[in-house]
Amino acid sequence: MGYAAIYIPEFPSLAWLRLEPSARPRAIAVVEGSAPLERIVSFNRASKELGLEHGMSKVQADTSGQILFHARSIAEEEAALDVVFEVAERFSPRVQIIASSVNQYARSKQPAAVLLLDQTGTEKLFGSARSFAEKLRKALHELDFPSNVAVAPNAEGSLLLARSYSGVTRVNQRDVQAKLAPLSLSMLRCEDTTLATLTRWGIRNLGELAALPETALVSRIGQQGRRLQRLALGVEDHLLVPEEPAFILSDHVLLDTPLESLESLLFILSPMIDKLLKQAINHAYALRSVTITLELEKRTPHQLEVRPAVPVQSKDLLLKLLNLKLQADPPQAGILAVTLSAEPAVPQVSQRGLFQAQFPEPDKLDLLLARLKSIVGEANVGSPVLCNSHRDDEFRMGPFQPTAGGTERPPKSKTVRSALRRFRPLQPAKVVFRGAAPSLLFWNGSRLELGDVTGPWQSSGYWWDGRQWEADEWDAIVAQPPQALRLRYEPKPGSWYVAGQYD
Amino acid sequence: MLRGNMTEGYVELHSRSAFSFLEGASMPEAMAQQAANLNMPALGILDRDGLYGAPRLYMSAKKLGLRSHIGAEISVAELGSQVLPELWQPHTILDRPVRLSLLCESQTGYRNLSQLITGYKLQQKTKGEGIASLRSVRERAEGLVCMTGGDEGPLAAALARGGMEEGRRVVECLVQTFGRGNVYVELQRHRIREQEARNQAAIALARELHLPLLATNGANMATSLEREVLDVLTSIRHRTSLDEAGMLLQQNANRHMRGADEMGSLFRDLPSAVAETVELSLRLQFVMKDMGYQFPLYPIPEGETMDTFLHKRTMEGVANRYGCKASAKLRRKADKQVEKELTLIAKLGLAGYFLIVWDIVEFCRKNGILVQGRGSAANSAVCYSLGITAVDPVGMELLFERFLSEVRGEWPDIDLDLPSGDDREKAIQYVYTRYGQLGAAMCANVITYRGRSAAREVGKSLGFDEDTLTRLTRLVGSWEWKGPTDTMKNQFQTAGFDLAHPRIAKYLELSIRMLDLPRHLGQHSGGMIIAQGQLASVVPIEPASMPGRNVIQWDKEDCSDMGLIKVDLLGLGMMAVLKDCVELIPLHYGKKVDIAQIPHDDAKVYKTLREADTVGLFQVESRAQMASLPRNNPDKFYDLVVQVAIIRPGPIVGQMMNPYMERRQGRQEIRYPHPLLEPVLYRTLGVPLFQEQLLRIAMVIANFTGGEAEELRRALGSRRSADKMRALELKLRNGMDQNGVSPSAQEEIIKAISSFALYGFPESHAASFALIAYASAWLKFHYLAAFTAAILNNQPMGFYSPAVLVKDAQRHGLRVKPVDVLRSNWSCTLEKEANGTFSLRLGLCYVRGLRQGSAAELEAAREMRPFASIEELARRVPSLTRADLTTLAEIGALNSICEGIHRRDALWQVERAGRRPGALLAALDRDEEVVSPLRPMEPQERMVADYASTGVTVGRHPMAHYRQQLRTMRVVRAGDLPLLRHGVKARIAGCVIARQRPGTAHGFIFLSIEDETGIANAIVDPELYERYRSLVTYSKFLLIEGSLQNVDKVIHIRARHIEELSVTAAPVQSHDFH
Repeated sequence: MGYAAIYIPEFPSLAWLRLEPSARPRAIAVVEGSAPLERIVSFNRASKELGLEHGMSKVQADTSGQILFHARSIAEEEAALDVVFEVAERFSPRVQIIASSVNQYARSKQPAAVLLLDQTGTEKLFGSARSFAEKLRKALHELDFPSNVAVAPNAEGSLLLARSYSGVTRVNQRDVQAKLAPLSLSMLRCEDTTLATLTRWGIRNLGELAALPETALVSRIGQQGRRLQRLALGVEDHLLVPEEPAFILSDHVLLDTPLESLESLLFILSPMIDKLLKQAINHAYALRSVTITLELEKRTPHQLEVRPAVPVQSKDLLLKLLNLKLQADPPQAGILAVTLSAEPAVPQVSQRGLFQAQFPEPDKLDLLLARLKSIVGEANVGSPVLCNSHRDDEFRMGPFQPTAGGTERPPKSKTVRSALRRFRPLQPAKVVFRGAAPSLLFWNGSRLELGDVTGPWQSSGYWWDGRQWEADEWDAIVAQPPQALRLRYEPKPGSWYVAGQYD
Repeated sequence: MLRGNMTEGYVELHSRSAFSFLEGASMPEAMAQQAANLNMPALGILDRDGLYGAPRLYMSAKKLGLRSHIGAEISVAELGSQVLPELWQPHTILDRPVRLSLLCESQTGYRNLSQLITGYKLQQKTKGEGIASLRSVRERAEGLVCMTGGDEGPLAAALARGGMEEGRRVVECLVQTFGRGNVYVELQRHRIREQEARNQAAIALARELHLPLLATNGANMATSLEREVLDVLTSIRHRTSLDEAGMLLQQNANRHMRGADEMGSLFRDLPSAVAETVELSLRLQFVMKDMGYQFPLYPIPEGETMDTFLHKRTMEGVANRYGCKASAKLRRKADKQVEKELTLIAKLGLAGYFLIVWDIVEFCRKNGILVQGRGSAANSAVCYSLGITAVDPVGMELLFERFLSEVRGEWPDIDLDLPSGDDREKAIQYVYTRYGQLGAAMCANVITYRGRSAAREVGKSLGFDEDTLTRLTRLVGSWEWKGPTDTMKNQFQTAGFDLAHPRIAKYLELSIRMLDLPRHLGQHSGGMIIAQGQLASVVPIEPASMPGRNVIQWDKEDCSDMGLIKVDLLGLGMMAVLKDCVELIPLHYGKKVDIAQIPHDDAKVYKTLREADTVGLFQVESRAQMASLPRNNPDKFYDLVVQVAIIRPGPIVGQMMNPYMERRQGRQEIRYPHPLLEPVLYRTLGVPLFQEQLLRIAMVIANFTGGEAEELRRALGSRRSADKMRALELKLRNGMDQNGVSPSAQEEIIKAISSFALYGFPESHAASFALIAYASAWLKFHYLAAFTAAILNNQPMGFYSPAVLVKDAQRHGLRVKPVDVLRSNWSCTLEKEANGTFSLRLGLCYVRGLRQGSAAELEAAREMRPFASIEELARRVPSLTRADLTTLAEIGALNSICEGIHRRDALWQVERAGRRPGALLAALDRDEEVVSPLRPMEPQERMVADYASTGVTVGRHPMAHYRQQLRTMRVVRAGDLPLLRHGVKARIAGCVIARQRPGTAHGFIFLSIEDETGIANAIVDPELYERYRSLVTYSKFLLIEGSLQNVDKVIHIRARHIEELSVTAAPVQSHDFH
């Protein structure tokens, strides 16, 4: 058995340089965070020579004026990791991503992508373990990912070696301990307190840790001691969990002649649904939705989707729904090909306990919200929540929380208040003053005489950032047509608005 | 808007200053200035739960020609909670009791208010705001005027709670409490809808109940510009960020000081409410100077007056002090001086003050507490006779007028130095017991925002993360000397902040604006205020954070402005060292030492002083002192008096030090500006060094009286009144003309007088300090072990860290032994060696993290029987935590428990100690051996562990480990520097033990660097400092190259190049002086 570990340091920089080859000769740094507190997360060798360190602020790093900065992009890093993964997959079908942007590079000191490959059984294709490692490293290098590759009989051992030795490292069972021995204790990931205890004991490297009597060690620092010692010995097990391809449910049938009849189509659809369902059931899934795409003669493809209230595993139901849908919205030309795709979901449990009421199909709601969000944007769907601010028209969208309805009464107010209907957005207006108060309002194409006017009610805030606001408001009674309005003046643009109407 | 409708004037009667800690954005001075700018005739400040800002308001208003109205906002529990936003509005405002806004109408009102605040403040067990009960307010309502308040007031709360009905009930309750004529319905208009609705209700109530309406603006800032600072303060107060504070912040910027025009316009529907402010202001007749302070009378036996009693005690003292001295002439002189002083004391009615101080000194003496008066009190023969001071002013020909003069019209100032720690606390508690908790209290110390704290707190408010703030505040320099690059702006840039970014620019701006605003009230280091009767009726008293201590709400300047007399009970670390020495020496050496009887002519002691071998000594251990000692070449006590005074800002600014030193070394001829001045200046070789000399010069050369001379000194010093100074200078010149002083000599004299009037040091004070300095030198020379133990037991104190003191003692031949759980006590102790010498055993107090209770338990357990194993130690002293045991093992304190084990063996055992294995693993456990599989620590590792866990090492100096390597780098040892020629290029390297950037040194930095042979000094010029700023400021070990300067046996390296030495990870400490 053998495991190969790939260690690619400064991955965010490499991910960017892959897309920006012209920047390679320059000193570059990837920064994270929003201005003015951007921090350096990754950089190349040229930048290191200029004294850059991880965690530096951008301003500190920029003292030399020679560094090219780039804002960190997770999408770039994911795309780069896909490329690395593809290369790794060419060498072994069993690949696990140990550290990537998804797990914040396993929170190590610097952002390095780490992958673990099962090298067992690849000898015929790639030769010896060393040749495997060299080929793998070369393949990565060709794609501009300079990396360390280590092959060892033990997965954790190979990971430690890849992190510590540059280039290619290959050890067999006999030599693994000796190769690990000089590595610094700080290479081990363990609790700070444990590391501090070991340091106090004068343990400088993995060799010295390996030499401690096991029982005495466990009796002092517990089972963690045993794990660390096994790591140092290169015998700690690691269960490789290979990355699996995304689970896609789809089937496609190409017809010899154009099909006109819907009934005939059902004969084709029935085995297709059956097949998709079986695939889903094999993974303990049900189908949340089924999408049918019909390629038509001289027409654009016709696409329909059925989405049952809860994920289902019933072929008949799905077929029925599809039939209904097709009848309601039939294709307008002969069908040339059929594609059926489905979205899997965990089967719905309709009642989770004996004494619990049945769910009112919450996934329907989720689905609805998801659809709404896709239409109007993520930030525009939910329940409005007032903000803790003197700006009384400010709100944010919280998660949608339907109330049970009618059970909660608003608290009784001792004073009778008039309600304000806010205009969103504010309606522009023009105001003419008489003395210190507004007297004439031009709004919505009308000229309105103002009666009693009170104000200005002044508010301002958020002076410390870009949301700064300042407003003077007047409450005004309009004689004809009789109404009470809230007028708003914003000194910054110098504009008047009608902000709302009192009931 | 017609001006005709406006009122004639307006007085802001409800404002809040920055002394409403974190609820006001402007200092009382700024509020008063703004009131003056707005042409207000008076101003009333009502701070939250206190009269903290009252003296400053009074003083600044007086200067500006305004009347000041004193009052406070008092939290009252029974009147409900302050108005909160509507239920549907999200907010984070906590429930707070309403506050009554009270103004003092008369002295009775002031006394009542002060007592009321004291009453509920002292009921709080901890330092906090406190809440008064309505009953106590009723009891103290006389002489107070109540306003119904703004949002924080009871009327707003009642209206929100229960509408008109509740509002009426509360106003009637106030009328019942304060009387019909003393309640004003207050209206504030900040252009807020809800507030105006409440105002309308209040107007209706006032009309219904026939109460006057009063317009105020509830100003909590001088100008609307302060709104941003106020918002930041609010977020600091509520421990939140500006983003999260929401409705806690100001709704708009309208709560600032407004003038009559603006208020008239705001209240044009109610001009009477504005006019009423002027009426009320005229009605409030209380002035701060009439607060009724009296210094306590000293209880005397029947048939005596305080003057006769003081006379008797003084004469007893004269007999005691001067009786034993042989000179009848001195005695006669003393008698005469004492009589003169007593007459003046009686005339000024100060006998009580002297007796009270005498009483404290007597208490100390009876309880074996060392005590010595410092400062100008040492000029008084009465103080000397009463035992308050230790310097004989008659023998030393000191000038009484410097201490007390009839013309000055100020209280004398007696400061007592006591051993810091328990002894000082005993003396303080004695004063509390003697004058009662309400009759005596400590002075407050107003803690204000400084560069670092302002940057940190503003940063937090703006939502910066902790890391960023730490990075920044680390860089905020606090050297005494500020160079052109030491601006906050520069510090922000160095910390990596982009000043072009608006948010950072705002951060910087706010940090600067926050500077000097009060943050909270601390406790003054030793100033106690004592008052006749109840101090609480003069100034509110509140509990301090320290248990058993109370503080008044004013700081020492305020007390001085208000004429409150203060007795300073100052803790002096060296006094504690002397006291410990006096106890340790008889115990170990079998000899008794009396500090007062130490011979002042010990040639060996002067020799060490001349060699600047003064680490650990009082006053003469700093780098600057060390540099001047070889030049001054002291060989008698008076030289030491000069030495103590000479390294001061005064003589340095006045260019007086160099002529003295030159003359001392015989390089300059001793001459006097005028022959008349020879008797005055002969002791200081013709160079005026002391304030007393300045006074005498004026007296001798220009026929000034003592009082006039003192007045001249003060006028020159304060530079307050140019006219007064001109008049005095004229008088001086006239006097000199009469004495036939030539114009050139006149110029020289005037220059000498004016150049150091401000900074000159009183000779009496220098003499008091020189006594202690000499005592410390004598003890260190003769009883090194006891002195070192005492000084190590009284840390932190002095100029050097314990590590430096230990190394210095070792260089002087003292054997210092490490901490040992079988031998060490909590304090450092002496151990007798086989050869009869003494060695020092480090105490457990040096073990970081070890609690004194655990050490006591350890000592008790050890006394019963010694520990046979580490396991046994852990079992028998359960309060020792695993971390304690680990630290003890790491520093080798457990090595003696088992034979032949090293530190890591102990560490190995400590991890197991106390962890009992279960039955299943018991067999495995038995197999273990005492010896561990771990390798012993290397010498460097031991050193690092020692420094990390005790801050000192008794082993080799860190530099000694690397000497071989340093030799190849051509680094010279500190001890070898005297062998080098002046002007050669030299390299020194070592651990930085002190950094200084004195205010008078034009930005030069002085570094003291220690290696195994001693201390070397380096001077870094400002330009080089800019280049190596962070190295010079933070590096622990430095290599410095530069030219060696050896002038008058004073050696230093003028740095040309600096680099960091990464010799060890040991966390050594330097003492940085800012």
